[in-house]
Amino acid sequence: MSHAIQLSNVTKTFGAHIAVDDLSLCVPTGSVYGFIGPNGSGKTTTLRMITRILPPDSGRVCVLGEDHHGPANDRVAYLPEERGLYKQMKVRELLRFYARLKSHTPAPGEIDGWLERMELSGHGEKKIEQLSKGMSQKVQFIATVISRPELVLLDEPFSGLDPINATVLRDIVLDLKKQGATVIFSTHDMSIAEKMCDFIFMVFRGRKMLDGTLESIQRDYGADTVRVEFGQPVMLNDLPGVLSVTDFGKYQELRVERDCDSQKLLAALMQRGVVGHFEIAHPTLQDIFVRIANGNQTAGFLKNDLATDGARIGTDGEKT
Amino acid sequence: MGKSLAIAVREYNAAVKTKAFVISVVLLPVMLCSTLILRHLTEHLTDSKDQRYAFLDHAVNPDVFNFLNDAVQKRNEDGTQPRWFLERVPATDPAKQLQLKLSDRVRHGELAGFIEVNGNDIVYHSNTPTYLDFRDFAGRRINEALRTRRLADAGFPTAKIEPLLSSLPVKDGGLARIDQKTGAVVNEKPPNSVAAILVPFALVMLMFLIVIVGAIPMMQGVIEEKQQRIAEVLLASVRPFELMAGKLLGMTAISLTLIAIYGLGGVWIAGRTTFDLSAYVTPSVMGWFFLFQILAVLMFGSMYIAVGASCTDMKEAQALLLPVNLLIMLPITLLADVIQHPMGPLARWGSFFPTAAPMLTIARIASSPAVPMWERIVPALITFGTTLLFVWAAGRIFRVGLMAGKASFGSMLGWVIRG
Repeated sequence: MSHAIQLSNVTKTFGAHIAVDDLSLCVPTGSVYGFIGPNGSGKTTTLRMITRILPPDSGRVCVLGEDHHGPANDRVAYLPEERGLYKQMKVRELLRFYARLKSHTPAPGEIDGWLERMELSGHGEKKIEQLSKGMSQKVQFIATVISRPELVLLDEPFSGLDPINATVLRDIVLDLKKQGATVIFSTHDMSIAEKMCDFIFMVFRGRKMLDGTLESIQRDYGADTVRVEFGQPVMLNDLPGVLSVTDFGKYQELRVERDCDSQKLLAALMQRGVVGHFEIAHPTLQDIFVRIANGNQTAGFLKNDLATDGARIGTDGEKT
Repeated sequence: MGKSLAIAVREYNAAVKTKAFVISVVLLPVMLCSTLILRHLTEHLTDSKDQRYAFLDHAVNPDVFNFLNDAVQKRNEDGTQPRWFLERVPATDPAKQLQLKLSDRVRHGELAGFIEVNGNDIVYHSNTPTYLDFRDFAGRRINEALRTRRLADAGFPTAKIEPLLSSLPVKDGGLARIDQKTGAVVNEKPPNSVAAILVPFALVMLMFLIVIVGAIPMMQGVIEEKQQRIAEVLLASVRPFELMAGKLLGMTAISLTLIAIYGLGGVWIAGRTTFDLSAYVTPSVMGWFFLFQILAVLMFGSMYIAVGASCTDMKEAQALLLPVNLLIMLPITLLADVIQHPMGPLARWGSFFPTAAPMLTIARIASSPAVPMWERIVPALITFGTTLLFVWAAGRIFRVGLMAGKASFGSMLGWVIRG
């Protein structure tokens, strides 16, 4: 399998602050990779190193087969978190300019095609400052992908977009993937990451915490979650092997210890009331994120849980 | 190169296709001539009220007063403003008492001043020491009158003396040369002293203003790119040096546009006036001007861009711009002396100072054709080397600064050294 990106033991510091700490990562060509992590964890710094905006202090950054800023950079597109557009430029003129920076000359009708697709027809001759925030965001997105890049890096692409525009953007990202492009995007929206990404990568305090498919990550964490539903309100304190209980109203979610026996737990629950529903489940990405961000990254496993494969937790290496 | 060109075109369009640029183009010559225009416009606003002076005369014979009074009346008849009026005050009372009386009249505004002639002393009393016109006029005329009186006392008849003492005007003459066709010695056209001062002054001011008109918006543009995070998008596509090169290229194109506008404008105006500048605005002078202008744009432009990359807003930029502005203003402060003595040591050594070289060398070349070729080439080489150094250093500051926050001089120096 070829890799669009290979990071090997990359470190980046800003003064005394270590933004990225000995990070290694391989992104398979043609995949959609989701970068997650709390604010300030090193996602943007990693993306900036991939785009050659920032040089690493140590380690190797190989992008589309090149170790340094070179022609490959024309095949890489980057949408920064904070949008950067010249307010005085007209939309069409701006898109032509950004395309030229990627050594791409838009074909006749290409810009209009993109504007139509993003529902911006009729705005081509408007200045950026005349557009709404959402429209500007869509223009920035077109500017990012107009050069038909092989590698697309999107920093928080969905933030601030209404559901309709977010759907349009999602469809384009998936189209890019279908056309063979590799897409990496950072997001705080775990549901989007779960639905769209082939691989999830979590960085926390500059270090890699998760890297793999959603299924493999969840398997590694194990089925440490029990969802239970009662016909009437019951007290769920002092249950054997239960670490915490979250009440969602309609049902309760129990996080259990690694050696918790599910049969004993079910029996204990049945003593508290009539159990309408009992489900052993994997934690959601949101749960895993919160656990890591809260400093509790130890995975819990039920005794009856089956083996895991594929994903690694807090380890580096090449995916196969 | 293609990317730098795309950036240059954008920078050029962003600068030239604005109302601010059109206003600058119009304002530039206005600023250049602002002193003359202001003086013309405010001429009528100066104090043109009639002024009264007293002549405290210790002599019995009023001939000196009469001579001065005739000269004053003639001046008034010529229409010179303000008009002056004289009154003779014979020194009948003790001198100190008279001085006191007249001083009080000056204090109350009745008199603008009084002048006292006592033997070999001429003393002027006034409470407006900055207004020297009457003092100088009266001093010259009184001396003439006293000289005539002394000669008459010595037995020289006035009628014979006056033609002997009359002054002759000094005329400007051209240098002699051998005419190649006829072999005869002929005189060149006499130099025009106004043009000789005006041309170097105008060229230096034009160079200065073209640099400023291009550099300041460029710096503001860099700050905007940093503030709006446009820099991040650009740096993902081009190398920092390509980005800076594009900006400098755009700035150079802007300056060439300004030179073209003013060059054509100058030719158009010259064709409609009788003021002949052809002896001063020669192809050689313009060639050197063009070279030094481009180098000055690149040299100062790179400094302004580096400052822009090191700031997050204009307030911060103002503090960092102080040394840059001092460097760019230095040749302006020396300009008057350099134009007056283009071959003097100040002009020569000043033109070897890297950041002053473009403006001072063009001032020298336009002031005197005697500036030897090596004194033109050496400053050009110094400027070229300095420009390369500054562009290189600015490139290193630009590369780091664009993605950094506010910088100090120390951190800028660190970026230059460490990259």
